[in-house]
Amino acid sequence: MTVSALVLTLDPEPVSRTRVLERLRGDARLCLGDRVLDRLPVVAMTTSCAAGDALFGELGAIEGILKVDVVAVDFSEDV
Amino acid sequence: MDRRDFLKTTAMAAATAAAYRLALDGDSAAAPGDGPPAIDGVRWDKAPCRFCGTGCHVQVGVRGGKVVAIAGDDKAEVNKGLLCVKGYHVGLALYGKDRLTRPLLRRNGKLEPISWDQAIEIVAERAFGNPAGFAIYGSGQWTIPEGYAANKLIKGGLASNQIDPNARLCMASAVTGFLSTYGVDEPAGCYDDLDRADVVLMWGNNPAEMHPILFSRIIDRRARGETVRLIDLTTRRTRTSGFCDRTLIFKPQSDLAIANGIAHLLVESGTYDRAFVDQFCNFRKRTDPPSLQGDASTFEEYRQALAEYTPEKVEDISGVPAADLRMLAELFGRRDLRITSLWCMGMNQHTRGTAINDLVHGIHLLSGHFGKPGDAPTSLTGQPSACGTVREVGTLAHALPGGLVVANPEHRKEAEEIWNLPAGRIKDKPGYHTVEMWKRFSTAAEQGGDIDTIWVQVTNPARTLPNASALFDPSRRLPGKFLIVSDVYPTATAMAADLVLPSAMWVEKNGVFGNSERRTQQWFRMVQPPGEARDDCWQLLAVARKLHDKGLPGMKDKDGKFLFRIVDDAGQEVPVWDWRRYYDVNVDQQLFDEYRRFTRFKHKDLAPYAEYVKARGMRWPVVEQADGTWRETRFRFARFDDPYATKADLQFYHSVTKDDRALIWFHPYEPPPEVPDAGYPMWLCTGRVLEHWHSGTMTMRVPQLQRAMPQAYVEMHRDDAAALGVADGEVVIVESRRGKVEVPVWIDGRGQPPRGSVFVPFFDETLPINQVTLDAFDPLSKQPDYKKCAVRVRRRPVGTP
Amino acid sequence: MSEPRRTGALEIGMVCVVAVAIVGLISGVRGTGRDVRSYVASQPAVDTQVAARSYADERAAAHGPNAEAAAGWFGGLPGGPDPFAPVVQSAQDRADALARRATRRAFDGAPPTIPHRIDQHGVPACLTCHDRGTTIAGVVAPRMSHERHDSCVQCHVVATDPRPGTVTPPAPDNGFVGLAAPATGERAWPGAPPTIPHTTRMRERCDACHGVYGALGMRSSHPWRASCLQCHGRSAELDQRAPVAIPRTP
Repeated sequence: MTVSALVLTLDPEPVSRTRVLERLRGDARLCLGDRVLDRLPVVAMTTSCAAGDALFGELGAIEGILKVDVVAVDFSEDV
Repeated sequence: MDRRDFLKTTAMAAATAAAYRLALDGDSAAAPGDGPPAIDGVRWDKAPCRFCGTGCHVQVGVRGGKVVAIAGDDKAEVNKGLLCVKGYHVGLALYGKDRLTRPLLRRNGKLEPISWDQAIEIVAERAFGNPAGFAIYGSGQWTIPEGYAANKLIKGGLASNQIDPNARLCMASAVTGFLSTYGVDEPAGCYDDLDRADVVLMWGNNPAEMHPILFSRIIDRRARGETVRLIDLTTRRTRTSGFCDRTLIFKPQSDLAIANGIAHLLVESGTYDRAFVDQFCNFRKRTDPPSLQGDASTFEEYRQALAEYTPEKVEDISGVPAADLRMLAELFGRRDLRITSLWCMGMNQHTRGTAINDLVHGIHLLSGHFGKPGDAPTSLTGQPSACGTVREVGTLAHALPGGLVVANPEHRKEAEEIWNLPAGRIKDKPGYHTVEMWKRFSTAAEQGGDIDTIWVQVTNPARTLPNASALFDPSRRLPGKFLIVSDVYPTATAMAADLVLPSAMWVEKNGVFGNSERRTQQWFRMVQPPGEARDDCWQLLAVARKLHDKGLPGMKDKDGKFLFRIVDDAGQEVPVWDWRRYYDVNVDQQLFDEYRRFTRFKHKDLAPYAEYVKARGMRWPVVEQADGTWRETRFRFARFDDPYATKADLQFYHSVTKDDRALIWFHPYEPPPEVPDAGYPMWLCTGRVLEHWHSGTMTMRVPQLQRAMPQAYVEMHRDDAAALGVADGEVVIVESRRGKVEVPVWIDGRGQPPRGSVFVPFFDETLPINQVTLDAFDPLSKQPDYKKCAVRVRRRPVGTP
Repeated sequence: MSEPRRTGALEIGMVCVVAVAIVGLISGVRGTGRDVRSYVASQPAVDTQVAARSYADERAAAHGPNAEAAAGWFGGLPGGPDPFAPVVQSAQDRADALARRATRRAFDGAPPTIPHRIDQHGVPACLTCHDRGTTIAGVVAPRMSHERHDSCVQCHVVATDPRPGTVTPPAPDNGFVGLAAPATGERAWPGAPPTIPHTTRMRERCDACHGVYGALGMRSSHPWRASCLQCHGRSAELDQRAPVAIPRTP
């Protein structure tokens, strides 16, 4: 299990923001924190480091997410 | 808690902390971890105050994305940790409940929300359709990068020169005074003079209310046991008068006679500083029509012209006793005293504004009270960046950045080179000055009203133009006239607009201001603007890009690149016209460092942007030293401090006469264009009060300030009130030949006008005194006179509610 | 996805430090956070306006918090309260004092507004009462907390419409939420002298609030001791005396 602390930068446009948040809430790998203006703290739990990296790419490609910042990654439970 | 939950909690804490930092610091492009520390969750950072031209630094306390506290900045030389009541409450100006948060378009007479894309398209369409009729009306509250972008857009892009700022209404006469006397704008002295002067002479100036920090800087010297003599030359008693050794009340406009009377006594008694005059000065007389250069004159001609200004005659004109005029002349005649003169709107908002500015400089030069710490003629400004954005960036209809002018082919060439424009892009004909611009906007096209669109940023002309019912109101009824307003609150101007653009203000954006003492001050964005409000500078760049995309040739430089090319560290262009990308890079820094290249021509050198990040402002010229540090200049033209003065103790290196000398002018006293008569028997003066700033659009939304001064009033002498039969609080009609306003009477009021004169402050949008004022202006500076016109005061008809 | 939209790993080490601090906060290691509440909302109601009157009538006209003053003007000046009298005050007194204090400022650190009428022109005689502090007919005029500045009305403005006889327009609606006063200082152990939880800038004179004229709840138990900083530590950060931070690069 890999635990990643991420910060997503959301598009300020309200419609796009709602859509993005809905989509993220539906993703079991993610735990969403309290949004600070346009930044959303997120914890991602993935089965492996590689899966975490893939998720990183996936998030960055979502329309309405402007940026993904990686804050910290815990590899201690990596297989 | 199992290990996984613990990891998750820790990760969330880390992510949340980072989200806070990223969101509140503005952008992740900023180098991490080097912002100011947070104390109890409050992060403090520096910014110059949003309000007046003093240029105090405040510390802004931010928590949870909001400003929660303000403190004076101990490290700031201007205010040394102290503020005035407006400064302490400046943070509240962001949080009025009626902030504008969406672009609004007038449809069928109603302002309705539209998207930013639509709004930018509409603005661009107006400029694209008729570039020559598209004008920008800007402000001394613009940041330097905002003003620079607007100036470049109009002069380098639309090639029309149709840009002028509200500062035309507040300090244009100070500019023409400096230009005609020294050949280059802005004061030679600085606030350090106030710490050293033995005598401070205030010419129609009320700094106790208008520049409180400078005033307390002077009078607090007394509390420390120092002696400083304050003399108040004024047309009404003010709060300043209470602290002064002498208060000399003069009749409106007679400051010209007083200045000549002092010069006359200096010359006749032989107490003028002959050595100083011989070495550093030339004499000048007026031409007809008047010009900034004038005609050569001699000491003898000057002496003869002054001959008629005997103390007795000046007493007749001004009402100031001859003995007091002699007292003033004796002070100037003493070499052992240091004398500083201060002035602001009293001398500038004057139909002979250039003349009175020249005369006061002249007294200081004639008596040698110039160029030593404490010896200075110093004009103060009313807006936070009237000097930085208007005078230095040149957002005036005739000017280019750095003190250059459009009429000079060499200057145009320099600008075209810096902007990489094809030769001939910049036009040589100045655009319309403020009064003319609005007159043409309020005149139908077929009658010569060739301005059809005005884009107003950061100011409120519906309330601040003189004679507003003639200059502003007609445009709102004429077909084909389109008013665009970028503002933060629904001001009177915004509510009259066709298109309203919601703006970010103060610490909601990056910025740079330039204050009254040549000090350039930088700050960073600390909080996000509300709703969809966006930076004024972004608005300008987005419109420029839209015009570029529409194919307007002026939006490209001579290599076909976009006029406002902003790049990242790798040199790749960043599409900052897309709001989401605007803070990917520091646009302010790139515009400022480009603008900097203009500042060397007139020895107004600025340091690179990064230097101002570290400082609480620096006074130009800021010159790089051998060791790579940057050194500011406190006393201009003085060899002991100014690196460009090398030949003599004082060197006026931009001298009009090309011989390093300053000019002593003679101007006669001339009566004002309108004087009280039988029909309109009283003088009207207008101005500010301590609690409010400009037209009150920000300060009237701050409860502490609004409660202390909730509404305008007409200040009257007790005997005038008795003669009229009105009591305190009674609402009366103040009217001139141009318009009228109904205001409550306050006998004596905050100040005390002499009999036969009244005072009304202009901060109250609901009681627009500028429907009453006169739009006559100075022939050189084009600055109108808000300080004197003829009015009558009437009781309202019986039965009026 | 396109490369420029990605930002790489963000200075992990630094953030870990922040994270530890945050976790610490959450688990209650530190307990001196300040609460925020709206000072604006708790402003007192505007006084009803008094009619204009002449100077001669002024003495007889009682108004505002100083209404009783005319009866015993300067009566409180000689002597003053006994600094050795025991101080009996409760947590409730303290809460009340802070709440009252909050009604007169926009945020902790803002100059308080003036709860009585003043002379609008000329030099106000503020220092007559506020230089040393006094009690006038039961109303305390506190000592000013900072060194002498002579243009008092530069920072302190009246809380109600100064114009006589007029109808005052309603106050503006403002959403500003000011920083509240800190609760208490930290004590290293029970009985240790608490540190000063607020800035001492413009508050160099501790006795303005904590001396004999201070509000009950905020008073020192030992107001006769004059060298406060001997035992009570200041915060360099709160006082803007912390070492100069390396400025943010643009």
